[in-house]
Amino acid sequence: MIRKIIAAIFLLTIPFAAMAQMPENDIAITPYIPEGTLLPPDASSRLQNKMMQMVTQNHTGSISGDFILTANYAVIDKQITASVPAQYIIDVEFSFYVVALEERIIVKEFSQEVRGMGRTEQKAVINAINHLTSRSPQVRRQMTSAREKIVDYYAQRIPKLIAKAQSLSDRGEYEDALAVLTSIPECTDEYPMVAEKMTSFYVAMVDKYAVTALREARSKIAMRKYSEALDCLIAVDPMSTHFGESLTVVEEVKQTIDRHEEEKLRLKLAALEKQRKEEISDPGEHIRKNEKIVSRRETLRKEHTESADSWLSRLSR
Amino acid sequence: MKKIIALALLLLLPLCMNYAQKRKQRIANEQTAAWRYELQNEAVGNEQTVLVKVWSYSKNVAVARNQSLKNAVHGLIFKGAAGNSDTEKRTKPLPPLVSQPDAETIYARFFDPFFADGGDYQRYATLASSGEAGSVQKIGKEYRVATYVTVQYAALRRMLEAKGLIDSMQEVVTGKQPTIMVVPSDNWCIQQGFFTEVDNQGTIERIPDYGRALQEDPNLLLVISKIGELMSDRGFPLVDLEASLKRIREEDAEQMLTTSKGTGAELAETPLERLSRTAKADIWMQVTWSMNHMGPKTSITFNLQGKDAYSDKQIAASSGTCPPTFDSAIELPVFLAEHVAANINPFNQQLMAFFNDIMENGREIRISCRRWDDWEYDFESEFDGEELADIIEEIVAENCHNGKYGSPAISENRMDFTQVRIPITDQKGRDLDARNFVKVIRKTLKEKYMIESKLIGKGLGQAILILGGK
Repeated sequence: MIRKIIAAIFLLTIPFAAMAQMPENDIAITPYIPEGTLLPPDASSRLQNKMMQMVTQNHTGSISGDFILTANYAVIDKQITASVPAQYIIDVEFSFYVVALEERIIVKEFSQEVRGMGRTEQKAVINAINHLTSRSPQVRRQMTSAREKIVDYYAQRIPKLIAKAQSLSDRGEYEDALAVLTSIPECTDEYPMVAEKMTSFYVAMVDKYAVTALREARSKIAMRKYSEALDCLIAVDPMSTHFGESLTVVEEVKQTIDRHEEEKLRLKLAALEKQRKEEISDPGEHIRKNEKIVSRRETLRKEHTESADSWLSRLSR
Repeated sequence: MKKIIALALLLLLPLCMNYAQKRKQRIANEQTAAWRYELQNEAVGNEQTVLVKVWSYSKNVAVARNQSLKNAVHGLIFKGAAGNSDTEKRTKPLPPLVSQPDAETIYARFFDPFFADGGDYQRYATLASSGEAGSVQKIGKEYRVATYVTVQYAALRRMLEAKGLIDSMQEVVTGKQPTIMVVPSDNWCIQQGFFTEVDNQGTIERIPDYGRALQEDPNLLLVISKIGELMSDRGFPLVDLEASLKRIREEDAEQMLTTSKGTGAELAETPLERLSRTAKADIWMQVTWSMNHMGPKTSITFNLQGKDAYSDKQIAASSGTCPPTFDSAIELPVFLAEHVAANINPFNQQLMAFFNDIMENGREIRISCRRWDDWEYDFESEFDGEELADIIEEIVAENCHNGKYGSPAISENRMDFTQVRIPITDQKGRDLDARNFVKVIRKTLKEKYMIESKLIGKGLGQAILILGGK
């Protein structure tokens, strides 16, 4: 029992320990092989796995896609032996690029030259990919250098990016402003300031939507389209400064709906009562006026008329 | 008195006739011994029989016909048979089974009773037909009679090998026996569509796909099987290509899966070792055949080449085209089997000559010397006042058979020796191959000049020595 408790405590502390080991300036990099690459499918997936190993073993693995690690390859030399069976020997240079997707810049480039051998060309390429080292000092150095370059780049670019975002915000293009600011990695020193800016832009954005929603709701209410008005008001973000106002309008709509519903109900009840009284006073008249009964009567009359015509026509031959 | 004379004549007549018959036979035997007959190869059968046309001479047609059996066997053993270049036949000449010129005299104790009237020669020959028109020609006082005789050629050869009168292929090759493998030629593979096209950096290369050829062409299997059968009959079984390819695939899988029970370690393998996991043979027998269409008729051209894997020399070959036949009458497997049977004997004769050459003049090998790029010296560096290339050449010259070797190609980073003749056995009587021979060079360089080197052997006839470390 004690052992189980200790094991449970141990398992629970692993994530915290892992998090404690991650450096503060980690940048998430996503491995990505572009479509249309000339690599065979098996080789492409193998290379993708290798690149994932490179990023995860160097504390940078991610699937978010802000920064990507992509690769290109070039065959330097190819030999095909005249043996039975033939053997393929391929020297390949893999070039790896760390790209900042938002900015569309190549932050870092490094390459590895490997040799592969196999009974087919595809096997030789896969064999070459297997020789790529993901944990070598060289790769570790390159990934560290890539992170540092990203941090340095954004450290220099932050004032310009903030100014750009501000300009977009002033024009009302809040989404674009936020997109500019979210491209800045969290590990930069100025990130707290950036985060504050993002918050203010976000609030401005939701306020803008809230004003639009309120205006639309009021017009729906004027046209007595209460349900649609409610739909508009639901879209108001709670972070908006107009959220309280939207709640007030919702309450008004609700009360209006309640009054109308009451009135409708009352009228309906009255109609039913009237109908009941009519049925009691003259049941026959009620039946005569019943639409379904009238319709069936007409149908039967028509059928009888047709059969009589046919009987009469047989008689006249 | 007249009655006595008549009775005497009656008694003497059969004796005289018998005497005359025996005299003609004796003369016929003398003519056979004097090789006075002609022999022409008409066809080689699937079951290793040979059909020959024999022209025999005698004053008596019957005696000549009977003598043709003896002449056929005698000719195939001592004289050989001429080929037939007629378009409808196209047969090859057959060399004599016994190449020793005076073998009949030396081995008279065997051949005299063998070729005696009623002797064992009859076991190997059968009269095929003799009734064709033009088979009897009168020349002066005697007749030249042509007959077809079927000879059990393979059985005759085996008998002579068993008696020790000719060497079997197995006996000729002492020491390390070379391995022989039959493969389809690159040309055949490409003609039949068994190849893979590869873009090798701008050059389109066609790589033969032997596996697919073996799986999809039954005639190839038939040809390989037939050649294997005939070579096994000569006491020289071949290494099978299909079995080799399967073994390689199994070895690949075993290499991946074998792990140590204790540590989980995998098998160590360098890229070069991996590269060497291919089908290997010391002699490659390449087969090629093609169909030739001439109107409604088709003929088949067959080519069999034997190549030494190390010297790249063609050591034996046999080729020929069968007579054209109407397409409807062609059974390709039968034709191919007949072609193999027809070509294997001349091929084996040349192979035997190659093996005899090895026994007499030593095995021909190739030696390649290289250096590691981090070694401070090269082949032009001097040791004790002599260039390293000269030192190595001196060692080769001292140790090769009768000092026979080709001029080496020398540069600062490599030395290549070709046509190096080495003894079949070393001084201790052990079989010698290229690797064991080059050990002498490695040892001498290590002991005398402190030069470390790595030795790689490739089969019987090639060795690579890399200087400057292991």
